[in-house]
Amino acid sequence: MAAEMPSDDATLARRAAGGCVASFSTLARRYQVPVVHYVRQLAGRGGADAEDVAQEAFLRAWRHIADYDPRFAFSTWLFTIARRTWLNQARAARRRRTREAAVASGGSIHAGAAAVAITAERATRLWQVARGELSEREFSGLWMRYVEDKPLAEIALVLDKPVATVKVILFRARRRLEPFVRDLAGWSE
Amino acid sequence: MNRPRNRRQPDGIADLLRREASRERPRFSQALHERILERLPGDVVITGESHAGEPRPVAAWRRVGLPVGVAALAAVVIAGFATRPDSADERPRGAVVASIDPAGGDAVAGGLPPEASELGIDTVPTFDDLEAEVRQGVSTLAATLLDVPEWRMIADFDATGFLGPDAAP
Repeated sequence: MAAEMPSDDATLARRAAGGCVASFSTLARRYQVPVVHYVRQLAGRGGADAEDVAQEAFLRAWRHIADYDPRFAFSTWLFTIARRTWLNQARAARRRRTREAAVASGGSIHAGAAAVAITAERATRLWQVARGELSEREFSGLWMRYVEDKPLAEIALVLDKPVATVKVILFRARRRLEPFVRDLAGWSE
Repeated sequence: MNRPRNRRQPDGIADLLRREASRERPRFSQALHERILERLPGDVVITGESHAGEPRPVAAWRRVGLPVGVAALAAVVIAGFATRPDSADERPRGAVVASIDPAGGDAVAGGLPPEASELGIDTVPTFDDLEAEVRQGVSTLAATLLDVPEWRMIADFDATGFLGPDAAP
């Protein structure tokens, strides 16, 4: 009789750290959708390919799996990696766009180019509004809280901020979204 | 994912955010899963940090472990010959002990004064160290965050003043 694959994340991660590809495959299968979902919403249309970012995040997780601390949820660690991977790619893309804009304008940089791009991609749904109106940190905080149901302590890990700061981030993000919710009430009804 | 839903704030925004997110939930992609798995065997698992701060891959270690072990054994044997005391002078010679003070003093590791090493001030990481560590290995984020109050205390601690001549009672 074949041995059963353990189901809890910590055991799978420990086995993966020992080189067990099957264990990591189980983790990757389990968290592919949440990670792609998060990155896709974070990046938006015209942003980095969510699947490419997710793939890179999983590969980084595999390389550093021995560093995973099982006191925290594996998904929290994975979201942290995914967020940083996306940030790296987004920053590189922004630098590239800035250089291109500088070349196109003969050296002067249009500071509002990114904002114009966001406006042009006018949001039609709440998360798209959130992406346009909130900072990346506020967006990720809300996502971890209301989509992934992460406790504050684990959101703090993802955002690399103390818990008290996370509370402030969430509070401000919600307040900034409130007018849009009022104006656009009935979207999801 | 396995936790109960957060019900502490059953307000409109929270519910709306949840509902909106569930609308665009992607489907599992077998192609992506296979792409990830294809890359794994060629990748290596990093188990920690070496003394130089560079990750040390397990798979690579296994591949090179035996040759390195043999080479290290040979080096020890050669070093033993190289540092064998001369019959006319009992002081050891050879490249292995070149850092030892010829006047008979103790070796000074890393050029740090002995008192600094004893106090451990040289090993206290700065915030920059901490940040760099987090960037290099994401998992250290957890430990770093837990240690934040301690790091703040270290940052507030005026080590220079404490060690200075004016600090003596």
